[in-house]
Amino acid sequence: MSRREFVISVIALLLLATGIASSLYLHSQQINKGDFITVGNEKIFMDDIFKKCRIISVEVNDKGVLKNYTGALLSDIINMSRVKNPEEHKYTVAGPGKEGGLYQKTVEWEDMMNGILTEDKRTIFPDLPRAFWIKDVIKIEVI
Amino acid sequence: MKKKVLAIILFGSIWGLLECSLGDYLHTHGIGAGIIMAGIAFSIMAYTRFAYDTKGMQLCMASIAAIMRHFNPMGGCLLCASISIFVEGLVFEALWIIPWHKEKSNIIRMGMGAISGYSIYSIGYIATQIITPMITSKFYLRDLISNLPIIIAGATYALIIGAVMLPLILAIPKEIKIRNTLYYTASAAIIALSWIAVIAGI
Repeated sequence: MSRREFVISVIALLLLATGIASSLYLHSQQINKGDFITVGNEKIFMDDIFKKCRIISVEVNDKGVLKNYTGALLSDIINMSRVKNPEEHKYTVAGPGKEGGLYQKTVEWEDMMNGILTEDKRTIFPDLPRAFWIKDVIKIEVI
Repeated sequence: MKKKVLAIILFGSIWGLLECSLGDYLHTHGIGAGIIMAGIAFSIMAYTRFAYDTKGMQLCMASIAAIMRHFNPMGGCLLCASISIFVEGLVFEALWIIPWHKEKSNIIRMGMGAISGYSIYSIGYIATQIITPMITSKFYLRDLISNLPIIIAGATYALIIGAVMLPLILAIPKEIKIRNTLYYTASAAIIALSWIAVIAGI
């Protein structure tokens, strides 16, 4: 094996090792899905959310078609969790990633005032790209 | 020269069409769109580098594909996808400053396929995680750090695809004999069809 072949092989194997390590780490993360989401330190049940929060519909462009999504206003959910001065915080919404582990996005209070949580626990932010929409929301961290 | 310019537009358009059609389909059905499309992008770029041996060509192709993806009326998160495609082109050009396609060793071919697949996927993904929030909202480093294991785990599959694809691509005969008139006519027709399909939202 030439020196060049050796260096390329080592780099490729190192990258493979980081990938395998990441996969193992993600599989070790147990994600409990339930009929609730955690907002800050509070567990809030979906039934309560849909009883107590304002339910609104938002219209978004979904692959060229205007689509309506209905759900509970995210700012109302935050208010349910008794966060003090909610407008002064940012919110990290997290759900399971495709490979396991948590996929998260941080948004502003203004986005929470426009965004909704649908019954299938998906956040829709009409003013933000889809990368910010989280499926199967597990928790919303207040930061 | 004329042939190379046409090849840039041709392969860029095919790549763009695949991103808008197959990429969307895979994304909608949750079938590892990012990984598969990064593998396809790498294969197109590696083949054209091998066949035309021109630096910068792949970045131009990526720019065309990114433009198509951005203006495709049917896609979801157009900005993320087009940023990712453009960055994939940049990463390829950076890695392939050295003419890896001229290497005869299968170990190097597999190794470079692996490194290229991994880098194209992971850096493209990371770029969207940084640039999209910067443009549309605000970038938070903690989101990127938290999402890194997901990105790196996904890159493992792109690494495997790259390692398998590059030796296969470099085994394709370089010289495919085709009459000039047929080459230009067929290329123009494929380019036109690709753009019509994307604009029409097929």
